Amino acid sequence: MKGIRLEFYKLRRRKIWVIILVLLVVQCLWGMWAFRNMDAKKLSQGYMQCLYHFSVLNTIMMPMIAAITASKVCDLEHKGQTFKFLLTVMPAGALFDAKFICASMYMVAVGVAQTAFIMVLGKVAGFTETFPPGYLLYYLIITITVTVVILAIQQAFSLLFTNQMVSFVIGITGSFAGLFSLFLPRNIQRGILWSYYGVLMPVRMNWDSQTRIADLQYIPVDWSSFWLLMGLFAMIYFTGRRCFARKER
Amino acid sequence: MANIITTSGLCKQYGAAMGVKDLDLSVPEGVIYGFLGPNGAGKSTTMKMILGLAKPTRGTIIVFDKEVNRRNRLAILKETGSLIEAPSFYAHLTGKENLKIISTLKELPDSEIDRVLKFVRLEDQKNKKAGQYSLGMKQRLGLAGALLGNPRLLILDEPTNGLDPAGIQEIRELICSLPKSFGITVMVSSHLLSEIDQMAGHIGVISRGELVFQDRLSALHDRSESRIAIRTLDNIAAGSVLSSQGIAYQEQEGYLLIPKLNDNQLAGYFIRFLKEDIGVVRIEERKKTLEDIFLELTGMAVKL
Repeated sequence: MKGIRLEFYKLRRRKIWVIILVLLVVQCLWGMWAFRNMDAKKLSQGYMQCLYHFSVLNTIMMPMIAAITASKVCDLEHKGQTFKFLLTVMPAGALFDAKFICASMYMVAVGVAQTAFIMVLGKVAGFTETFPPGYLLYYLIITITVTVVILAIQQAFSLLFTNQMVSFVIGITGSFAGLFSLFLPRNIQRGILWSYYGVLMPVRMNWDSQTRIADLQYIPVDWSSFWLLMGLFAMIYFTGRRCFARKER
Repeated sequence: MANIITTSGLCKQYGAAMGVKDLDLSVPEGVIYGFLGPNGAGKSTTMKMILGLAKPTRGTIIVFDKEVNRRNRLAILKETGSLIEAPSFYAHLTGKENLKIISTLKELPDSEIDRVLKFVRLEDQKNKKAGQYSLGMKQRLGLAGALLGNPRLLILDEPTNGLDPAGIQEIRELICSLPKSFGITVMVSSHLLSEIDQMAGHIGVISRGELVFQDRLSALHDRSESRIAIRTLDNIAAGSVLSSQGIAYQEQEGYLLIPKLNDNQLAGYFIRFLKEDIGVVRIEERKKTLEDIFLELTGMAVKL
């Protein structure tokens, strides 16, 4: 707890939340654009529309938010050359954990803010679909989980490389890879970390080529993909943590 | 005197090159130990190995009578303060906030922050952002951080690097006062002989990763006794005169070097030379500098 509290203390005056808030607002405005002309059918599937569109937008925006947050949390140590001192008073693994938990708190806040925005949008736009608390909770959990896994890889690179461009390039590349993978077969998607917003989204779009009508429907939780993601997380986190701990200063 | 740091056969290999080779350091408790060597000699690497920031390829490190390993490293370092290369600080935080982070990690009361700020004379600047400090103030902030908790051992790597003469003097005074004021043992590295000469009581000289000298600084000064250099028109004949009087001499670059004599004795030999028709053209008193002694001790091993 002491380490986590200190991470927030170190971020004083860094205004890390400003850039996160700006990106979140951009995402929400972008999401609202999709709902500018809603007919009765779209209103009857309002929450499904939201969950679908926000999952796709998350593929683009959340990796960038994770990359920037990880960079902000780690960069101050590189700039201040503080590892040489910190690691004589605390274990490297504990520092890695504290930074990860601190940055994850911001990701949780973004996920909660997004979900709250969907709920408010539903009320304001007058969605006629029955309010689905279970699916919203699932969306919240998935959004946070995937983002936190991406955060782990971003943090590892941000800590290992002094030049934060390495971390940004990985974030942006991952974001585009995730977006394009949405057009690829599911098994390929499952091999790309950044595509899990799409892989685990609670809504599927059915395209009827004869009637040329796109319809949305809720789908059951893809537990196998979820556990695969957890496996990837464990691998990324502990590899990153070990590399950081073994690095000589 | 008991040793606070002892290393045995300490080695650090980088690829095919040995950064540090078979280093046997002995740092006695309660002294300022000057760790001297040219840039790239292995000073920082050695200090990093003592602090556990770099892993030795071979050898052992004993600090406070305990062999340092991965598991007990932090427990041993609880009584150690350090400042390695440039001072570590968060530029966007004030001096006091920077020290607050360290004191929280070391579980120290806030009064300890005020104590060290006063000691390094930063109490009036404590609410200024560290990024706005001068280099000298940053070094003093780094020193304050290292002093938090009143450690038994302080490891300082080139603490005066990049400072102006006033800053160097200020840091030097602070360091010199530590053993007397707080009973702290200080291991301080530098590539400047004059600086170590003004601070340290004990000295270790490292060159190309190898320890080439280690003893009290006074042991070096003992070797810097004055000698008389005489140049004559016939050094062979003059040498014979000196030998016949039982005076040992050494010939060097056209001069005869003899031990320091009192004025009457020297005048006597001068008259003897004249009687023997040996023309004396130069008489000089020479005192070896510490640098000369290092070169003597190490040959060309140390080029400072």
